[in-house]
Amino acid sequence: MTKTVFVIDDSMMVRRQVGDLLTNLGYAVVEAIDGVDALEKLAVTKEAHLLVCDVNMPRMNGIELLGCLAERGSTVPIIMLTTEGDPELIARGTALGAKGWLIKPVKPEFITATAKKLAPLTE
Amino acid sequence: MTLLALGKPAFATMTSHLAGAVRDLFASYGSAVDLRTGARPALEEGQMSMAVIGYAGNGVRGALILMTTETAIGAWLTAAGVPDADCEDALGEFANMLLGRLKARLLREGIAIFSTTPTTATGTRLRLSDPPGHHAWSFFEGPGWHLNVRLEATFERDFAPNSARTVSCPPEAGDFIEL
Repeated sequence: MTKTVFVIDDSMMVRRQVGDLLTNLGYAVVEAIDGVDALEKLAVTKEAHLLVCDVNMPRMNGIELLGCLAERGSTVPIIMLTTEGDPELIARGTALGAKGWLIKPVKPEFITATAKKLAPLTE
Repeated sequence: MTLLALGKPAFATMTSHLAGAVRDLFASYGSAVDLRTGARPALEEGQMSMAVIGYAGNGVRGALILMTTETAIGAWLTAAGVPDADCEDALGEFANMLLGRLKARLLREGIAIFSTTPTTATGTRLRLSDPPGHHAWSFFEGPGWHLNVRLEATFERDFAPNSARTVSCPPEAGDFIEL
């Protein structure tokens, strides 16, 4: 059964890099350009199995999105993919339920390993 | 021992770390980059693309500006595995990644900064006015391309590194932290 991964980043380049990687593994990918766009698309997508989310984005950043989803009781695992490495920010993300923190540039092996662990594809 | 602790002025410390951050960023894409010390930035008359990303921290604020050609960005995109991606978008993301690396280095100095999202522009005869405070261009040369980087910083009178925010070994680009 295929699983759906949201790739949330204001950079088209990053959405393409991560999206292509996950599509090639067999995931269905939904792209969102920021937190607001992600919430709108999550509202109409029946199932989301993993969110890969940037931090610095316009309108609603990744930390705000984490907070919003935590308030709604979402159980979809979220990993952050960002240039931010400040331990205080990582601690805030952890407190809001982030399952992983990847520092850009994208390392394909970490994306694929994390996706397979948090949203395993079944035969 | 940090550069600030060794007595290096704050802006010189930031520009030193910027050079290291540029080298690290492009090394992660397999490109060796040289800082052309003493060289004048190549502000060409032809079409150039520019990305501006602002930052602010305790007692310091400014911007990081990247200016280069579409040929250069095309080479970076090929190295990143997305050769047909949008050049302006990619330049903005490279500015974001570069500032991220600079932020990690500055954390070791006790300087914590937060950044804006990038703004990009493309055109001919792009010129920038001089900002208040400090600014400096650095000229980098990669394999078949060059990159002009301007760092701007304005320090308030009470600026001082915050030892409580010093992180001796912050996460590096490419790291994965399982939470």
